[in-house]
Amino acid sequence: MPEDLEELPLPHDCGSPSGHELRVTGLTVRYSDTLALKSVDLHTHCGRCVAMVGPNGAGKSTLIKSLAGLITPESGAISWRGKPLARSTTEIAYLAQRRLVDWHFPLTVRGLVEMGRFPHLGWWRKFRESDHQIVDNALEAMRLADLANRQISALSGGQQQRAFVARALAQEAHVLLLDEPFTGLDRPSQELLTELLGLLATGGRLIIAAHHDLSSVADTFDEVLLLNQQAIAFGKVSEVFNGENLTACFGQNYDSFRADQEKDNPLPAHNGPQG
Amino acid sequence: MDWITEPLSYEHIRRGLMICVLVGFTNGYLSAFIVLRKSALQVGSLSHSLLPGIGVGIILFGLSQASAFAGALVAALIVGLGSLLVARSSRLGQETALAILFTTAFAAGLLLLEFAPVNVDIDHYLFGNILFATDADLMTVFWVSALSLTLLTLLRRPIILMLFEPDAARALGVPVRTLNYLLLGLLILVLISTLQAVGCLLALGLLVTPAATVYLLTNRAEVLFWGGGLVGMIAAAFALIISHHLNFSPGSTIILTLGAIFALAFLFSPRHGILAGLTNRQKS
Repeated sequence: MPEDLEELPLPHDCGSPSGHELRVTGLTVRYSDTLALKSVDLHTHCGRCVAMVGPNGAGKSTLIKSLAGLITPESGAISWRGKPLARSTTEIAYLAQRRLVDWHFPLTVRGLVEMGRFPHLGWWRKFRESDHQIVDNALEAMRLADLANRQISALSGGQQQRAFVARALAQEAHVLLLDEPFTGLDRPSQELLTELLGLLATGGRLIIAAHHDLSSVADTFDEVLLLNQQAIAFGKVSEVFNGENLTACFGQNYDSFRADQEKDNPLPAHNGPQG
Repeated sequence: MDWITEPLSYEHIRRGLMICVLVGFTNGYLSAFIVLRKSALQVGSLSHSLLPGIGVGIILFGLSQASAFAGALVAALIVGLGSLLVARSSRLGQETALAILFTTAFAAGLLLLEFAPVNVDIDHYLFGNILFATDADLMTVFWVSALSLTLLTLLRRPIILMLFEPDAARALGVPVRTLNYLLLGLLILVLISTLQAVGCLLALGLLVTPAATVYLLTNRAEVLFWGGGLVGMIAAAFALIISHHLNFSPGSTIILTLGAIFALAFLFSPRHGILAGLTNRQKS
């Protein structure tokens, strides 16, 4: 691990996998009359990088928001470190989709990352030296130190995504929930983000990301949840990320779609078909 | 300096100037929240809805500052909360709901004041009558300013977090809904205290233009608040003095001055101005 990542305030005792469990049991979410999630189970812990894959409308964003405590489920439970998930906790960071963020908000990269310290400082207390240090380290770890004073709208997509990850680090979050972090990034930015997220997972954090690009799942993540309102399959990428489960998840469309792709691009196909 | 000292020899102008300073700064400071939240339309509809409230207040309790104040408060609450309700429970967006509510309320207000049993000068409520302000008006403005500036400054951190990203703020434990209602409440109080200076038609200008001007000049949210306050305060005070010399209506002069300052920033802002945009394009 590079030095700058070692200096980050890593969540204590994340090394013992049994300690920091995230467990979802029978999670059902309904928006007025539409069922968004149906009895979803999930069990993972710190140190992992988990992809959530599924067609549009499969409930990926809903599951992420539920894990962030933003949605009250109809039934089911989420437990974090053996206790029911608190309504708000600094240990879990929620990173919205980039397109939902108001990038013209008058805010510098440093200002954005400093927001991660707010829950630790409360509403009034001033930044101490240690807070500035944590912000510096987070910027450094996400390769943003020289861009710290830039307006957030003047960043590339990859830099914007990393700035939000840096805020989660400044927040000292154990769990990072990312909604489509790779969407719209160019190849080098995707690779850098993959590398950095991998390092964070190795360092003891839990990364959970809704993900679109099926071809990069194996290189980026350890575990995958195939979701289509219900959990179709969950487990190690090498064990559950196969044609059979993908067909079950994406429906028959996936078969014909894959057949087209396979000529020049072996399994799995590039982008999930719609529907 | 005669042009400043001469008007200050009149008591009603001195009082008006103090109101301008307070109202200008408070509105300018609050305008930062409105610009960041992109909720100018909502504020516009609230200010228009004050009129029927004033009408009902005056009809029920007679022509006094207190009855107008109370009526305006109730009307703003009804329209503010009503728009949330209509938007939530129907397929119309909140903007559409607001447009219907506030034009209806405004029309009702005009009719009510026309038929009010006492003789009311509608123009005073539409465009302000700062030169007729009393000491009681000044005290109202003072306390509303003190309260709102204190609360907004204390709560700025969670409020900025909420304005930038409501979901992330909620996940971090910011009581987003409560803060929203608090902001709405302060907004209504400030609007009502501003009525005397510029009236309900022009109040929107004072509550949007100052920070919108500064928004073109800065990349830092902090600057937006204090800068907005300063722009509002200086423009309002300056406008009152000139309106005396030119014999213009003070309310309109305040809003015109703000508009002129905005136009300057819009043209000449080094970063976001039209001219900067043109020269940059030529270079590239």
